[in-house]
Amino acid sequence: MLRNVVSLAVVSLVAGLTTSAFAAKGWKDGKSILQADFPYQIAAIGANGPGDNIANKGMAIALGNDAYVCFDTDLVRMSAGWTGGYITEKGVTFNGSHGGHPMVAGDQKFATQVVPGWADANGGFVDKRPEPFGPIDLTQAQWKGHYAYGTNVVLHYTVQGAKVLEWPASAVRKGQVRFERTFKIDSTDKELVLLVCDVEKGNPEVSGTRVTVAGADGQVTQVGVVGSDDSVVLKANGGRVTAHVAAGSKNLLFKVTIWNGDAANKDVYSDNIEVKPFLPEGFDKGGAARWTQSVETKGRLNTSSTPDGAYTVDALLPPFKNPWNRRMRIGGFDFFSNGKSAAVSTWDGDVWIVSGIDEKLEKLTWKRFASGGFETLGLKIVDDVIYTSGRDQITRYHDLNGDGEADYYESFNNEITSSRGFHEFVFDLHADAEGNFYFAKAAPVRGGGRGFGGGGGNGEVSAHAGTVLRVNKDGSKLEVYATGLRAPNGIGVSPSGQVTTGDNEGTYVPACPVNWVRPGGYYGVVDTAHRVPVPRRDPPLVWLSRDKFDNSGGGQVWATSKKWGPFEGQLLHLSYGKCTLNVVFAEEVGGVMQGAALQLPLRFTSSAMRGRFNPADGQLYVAGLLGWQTAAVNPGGLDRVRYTGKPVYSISGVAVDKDGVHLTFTQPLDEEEGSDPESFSIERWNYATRFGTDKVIEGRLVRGPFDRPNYGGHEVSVTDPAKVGREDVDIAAATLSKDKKTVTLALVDHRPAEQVYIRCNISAEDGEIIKQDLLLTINKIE
Amino acid sequence: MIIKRMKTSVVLLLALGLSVAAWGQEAEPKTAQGIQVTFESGGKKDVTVRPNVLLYTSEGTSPSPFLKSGPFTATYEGFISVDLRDRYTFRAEVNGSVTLQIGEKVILEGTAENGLTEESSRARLSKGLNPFRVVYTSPKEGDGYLRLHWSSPDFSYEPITEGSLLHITESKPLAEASMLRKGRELFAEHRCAKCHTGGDAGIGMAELAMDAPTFEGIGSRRNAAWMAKWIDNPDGARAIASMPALLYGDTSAKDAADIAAFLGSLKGDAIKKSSGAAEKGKSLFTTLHCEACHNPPGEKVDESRLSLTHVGQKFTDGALAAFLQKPEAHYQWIRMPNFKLKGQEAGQLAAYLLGHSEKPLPAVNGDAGRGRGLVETLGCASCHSGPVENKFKTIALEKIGNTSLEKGCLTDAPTGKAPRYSFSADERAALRGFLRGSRESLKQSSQVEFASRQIEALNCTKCHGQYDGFPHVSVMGGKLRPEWAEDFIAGRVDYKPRPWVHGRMPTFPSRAKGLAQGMSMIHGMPPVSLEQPKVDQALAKDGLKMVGTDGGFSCIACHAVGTFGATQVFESAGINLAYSGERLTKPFFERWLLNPLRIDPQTKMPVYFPGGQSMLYDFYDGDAQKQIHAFWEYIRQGKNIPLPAEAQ
Repeated sequence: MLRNVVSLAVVSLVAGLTTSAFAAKGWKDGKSILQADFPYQIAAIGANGPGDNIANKGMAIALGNDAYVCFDTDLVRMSAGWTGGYITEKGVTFNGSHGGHPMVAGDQKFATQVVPGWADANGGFVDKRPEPFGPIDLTQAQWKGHYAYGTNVVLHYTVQGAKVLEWPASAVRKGQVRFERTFKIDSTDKELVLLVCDVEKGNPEVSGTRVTVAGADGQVTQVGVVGSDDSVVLKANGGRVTAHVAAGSKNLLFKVTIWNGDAANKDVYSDNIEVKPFLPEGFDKGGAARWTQSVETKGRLNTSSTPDGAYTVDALLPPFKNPWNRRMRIGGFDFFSNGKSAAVSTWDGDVWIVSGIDEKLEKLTWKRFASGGFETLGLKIVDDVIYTSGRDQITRYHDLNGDGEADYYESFNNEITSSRGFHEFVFDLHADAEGNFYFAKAAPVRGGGRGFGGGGGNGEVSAHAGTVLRVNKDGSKLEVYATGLRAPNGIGVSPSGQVTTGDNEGTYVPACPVNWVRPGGYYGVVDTAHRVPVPRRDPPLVWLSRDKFDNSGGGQVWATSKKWGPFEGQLLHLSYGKCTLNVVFAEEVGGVMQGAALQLPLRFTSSAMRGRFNPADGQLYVAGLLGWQTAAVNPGGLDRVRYTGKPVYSISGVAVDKDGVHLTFTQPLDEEEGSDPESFSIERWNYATRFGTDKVIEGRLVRGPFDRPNYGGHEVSVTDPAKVGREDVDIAAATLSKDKKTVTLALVDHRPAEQVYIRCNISAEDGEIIKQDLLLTINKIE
Repeated sequence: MIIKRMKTSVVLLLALGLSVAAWGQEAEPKTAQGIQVTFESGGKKDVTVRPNVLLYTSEGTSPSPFLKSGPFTATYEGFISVDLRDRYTFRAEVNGSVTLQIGEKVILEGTAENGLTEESSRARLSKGLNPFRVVYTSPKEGDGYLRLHWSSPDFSYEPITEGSLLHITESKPLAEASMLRKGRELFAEHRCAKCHTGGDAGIGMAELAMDAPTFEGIGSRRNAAWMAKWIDNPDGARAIASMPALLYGDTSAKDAADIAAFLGSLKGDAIKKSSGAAEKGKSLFTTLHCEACHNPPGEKVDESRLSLTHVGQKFTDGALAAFLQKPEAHYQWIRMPNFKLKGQEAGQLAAYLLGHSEKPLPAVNGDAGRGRGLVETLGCASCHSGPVENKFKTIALEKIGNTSLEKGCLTDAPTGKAPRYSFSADERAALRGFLRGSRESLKQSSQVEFASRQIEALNCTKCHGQYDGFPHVSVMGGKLRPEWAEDFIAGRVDYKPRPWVHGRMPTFPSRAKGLAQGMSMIHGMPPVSLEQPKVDQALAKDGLKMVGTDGGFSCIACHAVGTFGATQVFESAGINLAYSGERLTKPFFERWLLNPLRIDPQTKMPVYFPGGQSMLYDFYDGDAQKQIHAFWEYIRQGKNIPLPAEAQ
């Protein structure tokens, strides 16, 4: 590995510096979630001071010598450095904990306050962000991405417009580990000031290129600068040590060193042994492949089918067993243009490429492509380039040397805000025809599931909590597209650019909706409205009641394929909780959208979260993971929903007007049953948000003082909103159209209702039985 | 419920021999939930309504208190209602024989000795009501039982959905039998047999054993002034008082005062004064759901609930808190349950109630000596135990003939010395009707009917099924093992199965056994669980793996297992699996795992076996039944349950 090459170079140049094994505690059993053979993991990472030292987007980098640093990409600062243990596995992604996040697990050697890592134009370090989330002003410092090169990480960012490359590393001499930050700055016309460390109650002593700070804890911190000539000067103010890069500097390659320990050892590095700073050679050309092995799996065909046999599921078995013990919890995927291979992202931050996708799925090859990402639950391929969405940013991956692995992880856009909460998920990633990106961010639901934010492991409601976000084509700008969401685990974007989302029932979300999203729309969660006064909720396209269709929504996908049977052009919605696929029939009535959902009785390997049509075979592929409550039993799954070409026996269209509900079928119906109201049954209800002080007394909802919103909603009568429960709807008549394919149900007391549940059991003309359930939302009747 | 296919239904009903006299061709007969059942034994009949076609009768007992034990038939008649036309099949677990007829067609005929019948032929049920008739014949020996199950393309065999079986309300035999039942119940509830002694009361109908508050030490617990008011006019103090008024005329107030003076002199142990924060008491009143039975102090009065405005008048200092802590201390069969309140809680609740109570009554002076005489002669001591001699004598039960039924307590307007009960005209008619016939039923007990009566009397359904997390009473009998249910109702279970639910299941010690066993039998389950074989350790080990997250169903995300807490409880805490084995019956467990939404549409428990299929192929090749059985063997280990790998 390259790390070894570099380390050997260091050893040969510097007598007395040695390297130690590249491993950390907890990695030894090979089962640890954190990797021994990859140099970093991005997460919200807490350090042990100063103060509440949290890096909301922290890259914990292993430097060798059992030394680690955490780079905070929001503040472009090194939040801490430590030795003797990596990070803890606390957090929903790692050990499943609802609340909490990884913490520095070793002996902390230095740290900085939660302020920008580089000063502003006035030399100040004040955090001027409107809230302590999201990146600092990009004119002050802008995170650009990083190179993963063997065991090394080279960070890339700009400071006041100047390009900075930084290589964090470590050295050891006589048992004393030192942190070394090597910087390459080609030129700067302004003075740049680096925050090196903040020693609590520190007492500094500046001497040439060294600053020695005696800490209140009796330990000594020694900071040095190497190889800068006079262009970089160290200064100290109390416990704060800064490095000042002179305005007008050019071609700088210098190293800032940080050592901390007992005063007795402070002279270990005082010898004049410093080597000329350098960056790992060839880091920007791509390193040797690190995952040379691939894993083969064989797919399983026909794992479940619709009763008519028209749709069947084929499982593309993920490599649950793999040499790296990586978990295959698939959070996003998309196809390359050839349709034979796809990229898959996992919740743990890996990207895999699966190839060999063909009719029989007999030899699927899974190869690792990237790792270390921050909960990458969305993936999109544009022009055969992979993009993922994570809690920290949209990442664009560059394979610089064509070896099938990512070398440069570009921060395509990192404007998104993220607090330390466990429920800060970023879901899905889509692009419209123009190339603009869309994704969604969850609200910081509290550990118990009720309410939002409140600090600590519950996180805070930051600017982008519970919103749909849009990033323009070149990644230069992120904007909030819609607000008021809770846990929209998946969105959809139609060929014409129409955005849809699902959501998860919970506080202010009485049931799972599918939302037809308009720019600036608001979808019900008061805490994430991000505006005052809170507007009226845009009516959802359709509600999906928990007992029937959905308790935790996944993403949507538009049936764009001509090879997928009669549902072409329809919206498809996935349920994460129920692991199911639903066809959603949408229609516009008097300027208002409404729809109906039809569940296809298919089962998947894991949950159903993401859907994509394969450009080659024209079939639908569905992926999902098991991460929180769901009916799924496998950690992840990738399945194909294949149209077999057999006749489809199904409802294929729903429309509502003054005459009633029109149900169109794919097949002509039996005349008698098609005209018989008894072939159908209808119930309906509305939803009422649930509050903690609600009571149901003798079947009637009695509201308390609305003190705190509770989880989910009540089902209430459409005609009497205080009455709890569903009501039957009588069908006055069923009329079959001339072509025998459309039944019009005339309803007694036909009126808008948030949820109308229609069941049908009817024979087609050829005797085949069509037994299906529909959930409708009738917002408007015209 | 309206019958939509009128004409065919009438024809079919006629074919079934149902009473249709009340309806003309255009009439719409009224139906109600539950199915009518006629029990027939020894040439006698009894008609009642049961929620489902589920029956259990232990050998040597009768399915009806009105019939002698012995071979019997049970004929269920009514309708099965579905909301969409579909095809269903039926089968029964039975000891005896069973015939099922839907419409005109017999679709199931089977006899089994503790076994399963074959599957019925497929029945196409129309939307709405379908005439439905089941005849069960008990076996020659052994317990008689019938558990009729149905299935459709959408669900596996399970008891017919609650509410899908209906009966015609206007049925003459049913009305007559109901009257008899009502009379029997009133007779027991009002302790008639305490004065009208004779017969073998006490070994039959359970309620005949019901006591009344003891006079022992009553003077320390109740204020004499309140007792005087209560004795003078029980009806004035609560809407429905079981205790009769015994005093008449101008002297009644004085008589009452004398009795109260006597009772007030019966001192017991000194009672400690109580104290507590009323605000906390108010919140306890809410979280314990006291309003299910009581009008919250200071709120609108609802006649169906008991008022608490008089507690300050009724209880002596500290006595209310003491009462709240152990309501059954001096009155075993009191309806008020024991909430296992801590002393501090009782003090808080008492402070809250007393703070809203009416002012204490002025003291009443009476002649205690004369009072004792009245107590001993008026019959008070027939019901109330205590240090008094009962000198009251009245006509023995067996001597009450038809001519007595318009006299004494049962006259429309009692005068003279007759006790005045708060009977309505209907109730008097029911009592007369009951007494006119054989009273043998008092010697017989039906646990099913006892449980049904008590569920009603104790207001179980005012909480269960009303509040989040309170399971419906209607499912419990088939769900809970009767031994555990008895322990739980009696307050002998030392854990709270659903610790996240606000509220606290109170205890009903005197009724626990009868309720638990009766509820089981309502569901056709035996009153005592059958012995189970030893745990199959190989299966249990698979079950252990399957509850985990590494290759299992991740049950532990929501369910704790013993000391190992659930890992991802998110508004969906499940019950600790170490409790499940002792709580649940196996058939319920199987149905619950197969499709929990069929049992509770609002549950957050996911459906792991859609269509009866498992998606986890690593165990038993994905065989759902085998996987569920392995889970069962695992959870049966109860307190010794091995913890999942994640606990290490």
